[in-house]
Amino acid sequence: MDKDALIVEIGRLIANDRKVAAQPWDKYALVVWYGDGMSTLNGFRYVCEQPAQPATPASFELEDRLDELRAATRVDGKDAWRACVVKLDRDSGKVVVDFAYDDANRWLVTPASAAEIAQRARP
Amino acid sequence: MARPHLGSAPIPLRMAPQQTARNPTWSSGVLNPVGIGERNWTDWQPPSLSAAPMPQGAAQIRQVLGDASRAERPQVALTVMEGLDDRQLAHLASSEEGLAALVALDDALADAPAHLGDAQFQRDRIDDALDAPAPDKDDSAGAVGVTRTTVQIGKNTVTWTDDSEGRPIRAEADLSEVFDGIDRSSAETKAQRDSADRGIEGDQGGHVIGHRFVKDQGLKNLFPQNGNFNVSAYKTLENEWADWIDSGKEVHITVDLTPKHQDRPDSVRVSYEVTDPADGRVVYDQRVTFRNEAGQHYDRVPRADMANA
Repeated sequence: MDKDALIVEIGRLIANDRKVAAQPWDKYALVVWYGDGMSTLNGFRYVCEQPAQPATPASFELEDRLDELRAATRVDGKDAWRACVVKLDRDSGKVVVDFAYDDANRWLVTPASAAEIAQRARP
Repeated sequence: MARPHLGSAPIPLRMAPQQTARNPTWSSGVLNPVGIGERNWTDWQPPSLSAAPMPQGAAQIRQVLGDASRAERPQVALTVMEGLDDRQLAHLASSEEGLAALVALDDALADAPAHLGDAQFQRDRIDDALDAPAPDKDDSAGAVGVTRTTVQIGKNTVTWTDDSEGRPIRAEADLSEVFDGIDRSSAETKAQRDSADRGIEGDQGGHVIGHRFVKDQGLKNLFPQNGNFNVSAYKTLENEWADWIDSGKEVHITVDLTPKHQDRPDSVRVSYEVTDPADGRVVYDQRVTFRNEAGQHYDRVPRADMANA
């Protein structure tokens, strides 16, 4: 799959995921973080201007597609991105992916940082 | 809201439509590259199998699932299952190829979105087919299948899925109790050695769901795990779960060992959700993927943060 197809596939996987779809949402953000040998995913569901709700997708296949996207978007001579935010807008059906190469730990979600990151990641 | 920054460059939240139309590929190339991809996922429509011949053979089922995109597979699996009666499911369960097809169907249904309401019902039918003795099963052929075992340990409930050779491939756990200071039986210690022997040098028999949550469960809860990974990153994650439970929360966990059907998994994929039993609210959820190797560090949720979750 090329980059474009991967982005579409990732958007589909998120939008059709049983956990994400369990409650209504207008917008959605998935925060992806890669550390040494491991990675984390944290998803947030948004309805109107209400605070974000935690809703990380259940599908384990998402990681495969994200790994592929990370490889496919690698720029020669640079390390692969270490964080990305996948943003979905239900009304428009658009998926937007932002990549972070530096200071990726700004996107490492913990209970203490979750609300602030969820606000920052809001589409 | 201020625009977020990733790296040092400001991020346009969205490419202008005309930019997207002119340059539909992902863009990069700025000094500190910030890639923006904007695509549309809603063009996809669930596939319709109604006009196509219903696949009933194992190879056909695997083919139709393989041809579907991953997002389409739950719907495809549901459609296939609706076209199979219990006798056909039992027949599939009687051969190795059929079992592989049932596992593929079950895997696809496990990822079904909530609106596919029959997915769990169809998974239960697959379970029944796997549990039932196959009428035309040829024992001499060594037909084997996955097994799903659910055990209640105190307040905790765990379902393990093992492959045809008794190797765990998935575990789903609802945890609300930690058993501290539990000695391991000699049988458990031996099972750990046996599990480690399936791996490579430096492996231990690692628990899929920590021993402190489920006590002695034998091989269904053990996999060859790099020793350093077992006692560092994975143990740290288990410590986090124990602290969530000690703080009065419930932890719901799914662990997937991949790839399936090999002695030693390369990766351990963990999905967990922390809920407050007082109101059922999800206070935190996360997915973590580890490689089955040394040198990983897991930054656990600090105990102090849990009180504010």
